[in-house]
Amino acid sequence: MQLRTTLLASLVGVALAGFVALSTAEVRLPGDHSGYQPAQPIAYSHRVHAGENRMDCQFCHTAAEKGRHAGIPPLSTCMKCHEKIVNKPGSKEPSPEIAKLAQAFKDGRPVEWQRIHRLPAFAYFDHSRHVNAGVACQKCHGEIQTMDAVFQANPLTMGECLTCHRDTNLKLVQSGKPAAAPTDCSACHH
Amino acid sequence: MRIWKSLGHKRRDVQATKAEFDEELPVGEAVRQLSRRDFFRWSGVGFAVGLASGCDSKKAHKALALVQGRDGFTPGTDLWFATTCAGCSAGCGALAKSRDGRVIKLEGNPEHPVGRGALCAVGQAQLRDLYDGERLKGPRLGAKDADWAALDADLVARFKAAKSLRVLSRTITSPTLRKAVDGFLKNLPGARLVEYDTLSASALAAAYQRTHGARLVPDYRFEKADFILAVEADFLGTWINPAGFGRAYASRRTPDGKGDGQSMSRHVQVESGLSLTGSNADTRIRVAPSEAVGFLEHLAAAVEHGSPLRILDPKLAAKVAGLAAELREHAGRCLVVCGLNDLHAQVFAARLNQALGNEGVTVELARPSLQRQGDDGALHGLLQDLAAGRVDAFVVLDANPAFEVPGFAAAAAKVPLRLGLLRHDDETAALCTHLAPDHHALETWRDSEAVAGVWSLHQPLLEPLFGTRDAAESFAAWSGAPLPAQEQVKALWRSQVFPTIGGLDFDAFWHDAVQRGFADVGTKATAPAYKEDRAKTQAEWSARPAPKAAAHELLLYTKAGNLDGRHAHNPWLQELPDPITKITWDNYAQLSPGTAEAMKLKQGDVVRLRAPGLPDLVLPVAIQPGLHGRTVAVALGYGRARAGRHGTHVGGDAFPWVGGGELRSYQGLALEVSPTPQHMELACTQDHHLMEGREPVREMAYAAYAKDPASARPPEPHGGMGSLYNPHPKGKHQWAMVIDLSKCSGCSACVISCQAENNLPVVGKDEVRRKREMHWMRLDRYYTGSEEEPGVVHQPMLCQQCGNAPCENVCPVIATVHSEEGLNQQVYNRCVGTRYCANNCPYKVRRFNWFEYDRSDPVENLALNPDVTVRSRGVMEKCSFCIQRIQRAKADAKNEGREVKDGEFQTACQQSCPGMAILFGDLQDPASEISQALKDPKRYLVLGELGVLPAVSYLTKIRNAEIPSEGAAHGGHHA
Repeated sequence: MQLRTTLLASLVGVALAGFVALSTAEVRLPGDHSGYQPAQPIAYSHRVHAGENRMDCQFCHTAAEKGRHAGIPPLSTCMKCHEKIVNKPGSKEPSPEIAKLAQAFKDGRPVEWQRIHRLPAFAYFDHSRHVNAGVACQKCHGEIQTMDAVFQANPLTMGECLTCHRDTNLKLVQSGKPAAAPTDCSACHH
Repeated sequence: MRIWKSLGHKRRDVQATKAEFDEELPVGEAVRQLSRRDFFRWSGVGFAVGLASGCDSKKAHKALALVQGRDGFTPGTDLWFATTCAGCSAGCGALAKSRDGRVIKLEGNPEHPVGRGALCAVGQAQLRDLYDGERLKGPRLGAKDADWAALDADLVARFKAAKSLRVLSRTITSPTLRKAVDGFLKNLPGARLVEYDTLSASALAAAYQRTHGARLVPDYRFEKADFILAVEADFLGTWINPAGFGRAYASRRTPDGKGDGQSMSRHVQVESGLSLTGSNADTRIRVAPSEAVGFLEHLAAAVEHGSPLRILDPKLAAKVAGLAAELREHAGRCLVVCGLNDLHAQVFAARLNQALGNEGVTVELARPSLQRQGDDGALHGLLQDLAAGRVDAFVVLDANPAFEVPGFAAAAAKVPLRLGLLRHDDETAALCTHLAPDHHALETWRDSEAVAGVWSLHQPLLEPLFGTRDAAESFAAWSGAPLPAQEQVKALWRSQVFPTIGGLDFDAFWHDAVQRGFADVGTKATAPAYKEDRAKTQAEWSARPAPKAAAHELLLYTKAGNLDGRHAHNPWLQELPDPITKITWDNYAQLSPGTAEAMKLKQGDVVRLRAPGLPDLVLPVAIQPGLHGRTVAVALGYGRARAGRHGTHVGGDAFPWVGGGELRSYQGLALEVSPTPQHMELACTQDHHLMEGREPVREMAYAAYAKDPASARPPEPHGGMGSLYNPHPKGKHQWAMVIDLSKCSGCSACVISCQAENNLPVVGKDEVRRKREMHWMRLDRYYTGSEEEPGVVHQPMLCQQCGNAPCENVCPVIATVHSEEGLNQQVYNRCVGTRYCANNCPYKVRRFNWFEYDRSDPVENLALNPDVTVRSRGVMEKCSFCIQRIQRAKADAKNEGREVKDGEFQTACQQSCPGMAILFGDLQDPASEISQALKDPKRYLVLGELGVLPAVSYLTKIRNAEIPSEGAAHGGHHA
């Protein structure tokens, strides 16, 4: 009797502990890297460029409407402005971060950015299709114009892709147009 | 049984072998040694660690951007560059797909006059050749790595001291390289260039010297020939320009002339083995290897109404009369080609073409081929000079004489200076004191003139991977006038090509030439006229001893993939099944079924071939229907002693058996065949998938078809109960394919093209024996008729993308599902490897990854197509209809706000096919070519009676000959 009570009590205890642990811990699907925010070699701010200065995303990410990758701009693109703009925003003090950029350009040495958004190798994603279909960059990348240091805002899982594709098709069909966002496996897996 | 695919199948004595999936999935030793208890213990730990670390690691990945942006460069998109294939000397025009600065695919250049848009298996495999991590990586002096300056300094001093230097090369088809070599030789008194070809056409050139007073190799126009007679010439496989010839030939192999009033050509092959070309002939005449020359003499005499000097086997003599009548009937519209390296045979062939009025029509003498210009006599002289110590330095340029030329290695070892401009650490490299490795042809500027007046350009498609140097640059440096390869090519084109094209601005011309990949300057030369001294030939021929018939006579040939062994290091080509025998990774002694039976030999029994004065050749037997009873056919190019990790010691070396002297000879040698107690299992794919009594190929006689095309229509299938399931919803496109069996020659270009496009792994000989080859596109070869004189039908077999697919409804994890566009999608990341789908596939086209195949070499991995997932162990895969190309075309069309155009993109197999046998397109577009092709009465479905509704259909093979005992088409079922 004594033994059984102890066993039962400990089982309940373990179950409770497990429940508490599960409800407080972060539970996520495998492959969900949301929140990932590595330190970058240059403290480049999307908030300053895309937010305050209202630069169009494709001003720098020129490949986004043309190909599979949005592309990281070559240093020569940065230097078009930063030959002149060398100070911290709204200040007369030279920016050490821009100095790093200028130095790398002078040395002909690529900057080793830390990649944030990565899909698995068996998933094929084409930026051009999404950009040309009018999907806003923020839909997948979050409110990038508010980020000083970029982090992965969304899980970027297959569920997320499919939800958006199905919602898009639903809206299209409801407005009398044919579905356009593919949901075939081979649209992304080949 | 009318259609059969192997002797065992015909004789109904197929031995029960293990089925593809009899074996369990092999598990690594480390896992096997764990006890069950340990397994769970460690799994628990692993699970806990996994939880703690949040399921998957956040390994940091760098993203590097360019420093300086480049116009026209968009990361992740394709750029196409025109270049020239250097897989053999044919110099077919190629288009190279470049992604982010590296080549990922080669395709034929449709505008190019040589390849005419075709690119053969060897050409397709040049991609793997470029990214071969075992290439020579830099200059060597003695046995040590050196730098170029040190090598040059050392060499220049030695060249000055050399009194009689020889440059030994395969025929140089590059005018720029030839000029560089000439410039180098000019400064060195007593120095000479010797060119040779492993597959020599020396007799062909010598024959035209005799008959027309000009040493030349003609170019041939198969598209203009109504009747083709080929004697021992494998012009679709390995002879001179197989891809270009293949395209020209296939254009006349359709019974439905496309409104140009041209009828289907008729092709007769006279041969002792069964070549790829012979397998396509409408009629084959079997001769013994030693009889072919006599046959041609008889034929020439019969056509010219003369009387032959030699007595021929009466059975063959009877066939000559019929053939002569056919040739005369097609005078001026026929073609005789001969692949024998025998002066008299070639003289008879030249006489035939002349007498029949084929010159200037099908035989082009004014614009001859510039391939295979090598002179066997000069090579023979070099060997004598070497043996006598009259040569004190030699330079080998892009050749492997230590392997290909019997006696070279022994004679050359005495020469003090031995320099190699090579690409691989091969037998010749081992012999050299100095190595100046050449770039790969895709890494450098070069040109090629394979047919007189067609100048073709190579342009570099990536920075050289290793510390090599262009051969023309090397010669220029040693001549004291160093000049980059690009400048050399440009200078020669400025002086030789630009003036004939005309125009004011060389830069504009050059830009255009680089973009197109070639310039056709034509020729002002006139064809030499016939002026043979017949008495001389007659006297020689009478004095020539008649060949003695031997019980066994040798036939040396080359395989379409491996050629003369120069591609032995390339595993794609080693694993390519031979188009006829379907054997991979080996050479063997082919015997006819009758001969093998008489000697009580079975497939794989090892025999010893003996001939006086030659090293014994020990090889397994491959029993080959269609061979002449006296023929022992052995492929050259195997048994390499130094060919890297893939090619070394594969098969046996038959080069010592090539006859030397003034003309190298490849056939007719009498030899002894004696059995040995050994047996070896050949890695043959032909028995892997059995037909179970069904007949997947249909054939029909041209005469019957021409009379009533509708009679080709196959009977309605008797099954076809339909599906229990609702029909699949149809999207905007329905992709389908039609394959014309009359145009497919079995050349296997599609197999390698698919391998390159879809990242197919190489599995090796042992795994092929276990039926685990990974080719998505395979070529099934069927025989019809008797063992002695079989007809052959080649059938490309790939996933049929069934509309009612047996694979789909057995998958427990829904990893293979139907798409709206009619495709059976295979989702690798979902597949758990039950293999149910492959077991349920009636076409046996699914491939299972038994292992994590080797992807450890970062250089080799550069050949991977970034649009196609590299599959991992335990995953099923199969043909996807090149889904990545479909998706790309759709995305491009949508981005440009238009519809996908018919023919806008091609599948990899379709693009490479020299015969243009494969048609692919969208059935939802009623105007598309494929929608039209579906109405063809010749169309049938393989295993259509199963009701699986394949999206791939075939067109009945039409033979321009009587088909024994059958008037109408046979086998197959209508859709």
